[in-house]
Amino acid sequence: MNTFHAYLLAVAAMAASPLLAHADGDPAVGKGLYAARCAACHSLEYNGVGPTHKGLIGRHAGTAQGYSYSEALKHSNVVWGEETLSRWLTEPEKFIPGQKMFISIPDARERADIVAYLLQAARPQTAAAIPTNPGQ
Amino acid sequence: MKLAALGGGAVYFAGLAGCASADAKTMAGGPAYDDFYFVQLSDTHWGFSGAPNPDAKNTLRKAIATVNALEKQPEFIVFTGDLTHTTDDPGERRRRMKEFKEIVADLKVKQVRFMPGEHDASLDRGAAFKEFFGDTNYSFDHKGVHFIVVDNVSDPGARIGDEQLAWMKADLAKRPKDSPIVVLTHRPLFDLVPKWDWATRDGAQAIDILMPYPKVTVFYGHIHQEHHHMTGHIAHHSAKSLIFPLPAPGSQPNRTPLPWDPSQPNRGLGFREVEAEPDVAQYKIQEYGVTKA
Repeated sequence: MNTFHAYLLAVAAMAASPLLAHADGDPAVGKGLYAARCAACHSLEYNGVGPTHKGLIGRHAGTAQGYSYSEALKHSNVVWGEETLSRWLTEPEKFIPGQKMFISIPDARERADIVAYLLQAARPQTAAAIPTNPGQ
Repeated sequence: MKLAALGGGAVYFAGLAGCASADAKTMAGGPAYDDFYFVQLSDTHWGFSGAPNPDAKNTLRKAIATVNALEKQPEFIVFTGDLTHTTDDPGERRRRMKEFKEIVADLKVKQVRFMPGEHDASLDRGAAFKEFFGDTNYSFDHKGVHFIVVDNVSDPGARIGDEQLAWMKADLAKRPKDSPIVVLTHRPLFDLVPKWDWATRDGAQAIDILMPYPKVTVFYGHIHQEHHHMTGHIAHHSAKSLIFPLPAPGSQPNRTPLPWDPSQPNRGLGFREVEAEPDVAQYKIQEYGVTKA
């Protein structure tokens, strides 16, 4: 097994234990950070400069209804969850080149707080809304 | 949850594949327009001493070393106010400005633009600032982007003033409507938290003047934290400080500095590098800490 495969497995292992992975994020702090850093463009209710975060968790990237996405997002095949959100916020352009969000959250603790908030506030609307993972 | 999270793991692979194709595209031709980088530093408060930053004598120098070591060197650097910490002694004010100027002379990039904050200018209506750094409001052009420096601090009442608003209007009138315009200023032009002095009394008039121009972006300081806000199509981005962070807007009754954390020195401090893409009037913001992480 090469290093890269080992790494992917490690990523998958981390993703499989979500409770462990976001234990250090504080959703209350994340709520304030969301208001200051994200809410200029994003909302939990509607599309703005950026797509809505309503029901974000478990959603395929590039699929919020009525939002005009970059081709990069539409074809990214990313599903938003703790791991992907954290990677995205670290450096969006590195994660999905060609995307159009120009803000990042390089501070690991702030990032964990924002993701913890989104995991609570942007839950899928119903259990049925969690997509399966086609084409993988 | 598990399904979604596992999807995320697999998708990381797609992200890597995307990287490779982006490289290929760059090699094939590269952008037809002339992008550039600039750096925004803010609220250095030279001369401050106190518990919120026990390392105040070194923070600015460390940040300058970090800027000098940036992989992508900026074409110019802007300081969006509060270069020095306020003092009611005019001699001490000038001494701080002189020291500040000597320290920032270590920046490798020599094109540096200064503007005052209320700590520099509101006690003498910008007199000392002008002696050391020149005008408190001006405009300049860089690779097709028109930059306007707006002074909302020399007036102790936190106003831009009718005279400067008229200058702004006349300065903009010379530009085609679709010019990319960047406003650099100290206080927010919109009402962020007026009771904390996080507002400009006549900022709405400035926004009215800017509103007919479709490509306007504002970079400012004053609030010692990163913050993003839209007024209509105009984006406002505040920068971190290089002295102490302040609480999130309206999150507590008083605007007191956040305490220094010895286990994480310089937490909440930093500067940003902005990649300007003039043809689409987009500004990609990368935040940096005082020292390289």
